[in-house]
Amino acid sequence: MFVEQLSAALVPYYLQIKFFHVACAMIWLASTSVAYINYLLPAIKAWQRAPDDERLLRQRNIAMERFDQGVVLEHVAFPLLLLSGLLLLTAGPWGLAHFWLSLKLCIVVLVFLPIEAMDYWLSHFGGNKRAIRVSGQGDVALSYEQAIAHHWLFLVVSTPVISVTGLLVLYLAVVKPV
Amino acid sequence: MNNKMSAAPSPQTLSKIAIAMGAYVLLVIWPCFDALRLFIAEDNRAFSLHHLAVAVGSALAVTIFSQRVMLSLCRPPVDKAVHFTEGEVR
Repeated sequence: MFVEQLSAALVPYYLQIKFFHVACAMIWLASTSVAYINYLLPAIKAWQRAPDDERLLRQRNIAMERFDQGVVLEHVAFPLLLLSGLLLLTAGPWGLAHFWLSLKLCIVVLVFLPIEAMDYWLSHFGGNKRAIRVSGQGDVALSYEQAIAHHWLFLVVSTPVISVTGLLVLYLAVVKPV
Repeated sequence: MNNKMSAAPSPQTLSKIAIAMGAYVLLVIWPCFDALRLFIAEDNRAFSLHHLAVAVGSALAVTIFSQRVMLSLCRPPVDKAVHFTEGEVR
């Protein structure tokens, strides 16, 4: 009953919600790519070549801490993307019986949600590098290095996954193959 | 900060991760997707050999692609690595 009422109320705004959904998808997918490819990766790669170089280590740490701040836009867009997606599902003519939407939702639930949950934790909660550095609790240097190592492993593992599934989800949403 | 972390995960670790990612496609994503197709869309082709072949192909592709990308991220060629000078990263 409630869903039907909500659907009826949302139908006139379907295209506006779709615009918002697409805008959030663009921000979520692309907002960190320049920083990742052109600032964080070069800093990490330069440090990997000379792990004992204090200057490269400092630059790696700065790049990583700035990246933690830089993903805020992405992490604001993601829940809005999910919310607008649910509204589209409620208001639109498409359902889980459609091939493209069922595959898209499988990817969102089984790939994007776990990755983003981990990313939120690494960037803003327990894994936030700046918070660890200024905390002064326990062995700060060790905790900091562990946080960097975890975040770097996460970025290495998630890069191929997001680059493939991100494009696949965009394709499914635009082309809507039956 | 003291440098206590290794520079990069080993190629063996990355290979195991890539295999796990392929297995995740084959053993989690594909069964969930076909279960949705079977129970919600009543699609008779769910869990068919054709779908299984596509899932195996996708899993293999994910494994190979992921391993290549992850290795390239962890082993930068010396001559292509970017050299920062002091103050470049702000």
